[in-house]
Amino acid sequence: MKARFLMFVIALACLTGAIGVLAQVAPFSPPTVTTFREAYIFAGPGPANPQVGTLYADQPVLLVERNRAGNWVRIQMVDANGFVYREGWILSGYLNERASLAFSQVPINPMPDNNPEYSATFSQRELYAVPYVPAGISQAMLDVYARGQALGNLPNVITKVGDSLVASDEYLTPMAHPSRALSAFDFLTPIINQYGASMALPSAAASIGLSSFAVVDPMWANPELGCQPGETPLTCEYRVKRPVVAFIMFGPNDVRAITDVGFGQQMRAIVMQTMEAGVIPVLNLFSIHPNDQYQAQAINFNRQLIALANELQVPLINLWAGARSLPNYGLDIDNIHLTYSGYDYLFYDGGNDAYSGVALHNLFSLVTLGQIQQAVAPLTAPTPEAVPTASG
Amino acid sequence: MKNVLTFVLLLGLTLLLAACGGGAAAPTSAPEGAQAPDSAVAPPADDAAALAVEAYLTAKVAGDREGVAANICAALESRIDAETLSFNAVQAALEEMSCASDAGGATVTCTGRITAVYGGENRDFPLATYAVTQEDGEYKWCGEPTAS
Repeated sequence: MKARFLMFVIALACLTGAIGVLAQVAPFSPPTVTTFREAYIFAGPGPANPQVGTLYADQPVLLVERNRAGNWVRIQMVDANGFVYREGWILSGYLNERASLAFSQVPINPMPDNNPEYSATFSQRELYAVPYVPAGISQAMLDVYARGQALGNLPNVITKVGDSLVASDEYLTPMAHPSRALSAFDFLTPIINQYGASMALPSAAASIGLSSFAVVDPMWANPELGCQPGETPLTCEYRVKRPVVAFIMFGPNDVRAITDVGFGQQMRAIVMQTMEAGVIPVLNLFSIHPNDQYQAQAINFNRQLIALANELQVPLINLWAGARSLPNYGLDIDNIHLTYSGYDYLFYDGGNDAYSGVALHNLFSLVTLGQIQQAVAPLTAPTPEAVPTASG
Repeated sequence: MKNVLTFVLLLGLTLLLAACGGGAAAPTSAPEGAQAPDSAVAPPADDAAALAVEAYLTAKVAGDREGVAANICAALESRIDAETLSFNAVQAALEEMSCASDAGGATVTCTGRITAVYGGENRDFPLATYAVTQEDGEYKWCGEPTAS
């Protein structure tokens, strides 16, 4: 009798535990979704993949996976018998039901975003081989972060370094706005909560007309942002803000003024200074219009950035590849600046990541920042009150 | 007689007006290879340090590598390319530049500004105080004095 009772208790405990485990890892149930416009279906999450079909507006499909950045999703067309007769990838920005979706719950497919074999030109293969956002953060960057903590860098502070595309009030600055419409990108919330306030202040190292040479010229430093005589904009920004991450993008100005080799050397110097300051540099490939007279040079500039990122194991955002799917490659009428979303806060309800170059750039940057956030979490505890003021 | 007197008075008046019509002092010749900026008040010819700084700033804004190299101090030679290309991406011009040596001779203070235009947006860079050194008998621009 006692033995039977004991066995009953053990069985009951096992059953309770099993139910608890199942509740926590309930399998993902693909939701039914539709698009508001016709969409090309690709074999992978990017235009450098075979096109496998077309999805018509309001045609119901199942959403089964997403890519790491969340700008593409894999869908399945299912007949009445449940047979999957077509599947592939579409831009998530075309979905009707974005506000009711939670991409944090959608499984991530780690397959390459693009297949270099399907690039339009041979010179673009190297660019298509780079994912939209990094797959992970290297040990070298964790070492940089640790150095920064020892130097007193603030764990909740990030900054941006670059020309007018970066200095724009629509790039990263909206993180500081209290309003948000993240739509399906719910997983961005903890990232914005930790780092958003630090973007309220302008960067001394981001300005219209800035180039990879000007950012290390003291004459470009702004005393109104706390810069001291003889101090370069880059040095000033790192001293005043004490950030842990710097999003760095140069190229649109430099491509019209210097050689790709010279650009590579300057970017190396900028990245080295950034790492010595204990700041994790995040590099960005920049978008260029195929008809731009500097298109070939821009490809070479981006290749310099790829080589630099690979050598120093620095996170690299592939805005060039991501923007290939956007109207006019994410570029405004001047074919230099990125198209704006029209919002001063983070707004993705309208699928802006499929239309606005800046919105896509913000998405890629925030996803990358989230990877850094997760990777460095064991190294320090965040201090929400440690946000710099403008006093310098 | 009256006509002669009138003529003499008119002639005298004309000469007087001509003597007073010079206005500001005519600028001295600009340093070789440089273009005199708008509304510049050139330093005296014996203020070699100020002239060197003006030559340097002119070359920098123009993207003139030879001019930059000729007027930069040896300690900053590694920055020649950076200094030359710094304003390459914008339309830059010097306005109302006027430089003069400070007491002690170690620095030159300039007034005026560099105006930069890019994509329809303007930005001004006020000129400041610059360190100078003397190398082989010639003054060279040597950056901005850092805060002590």
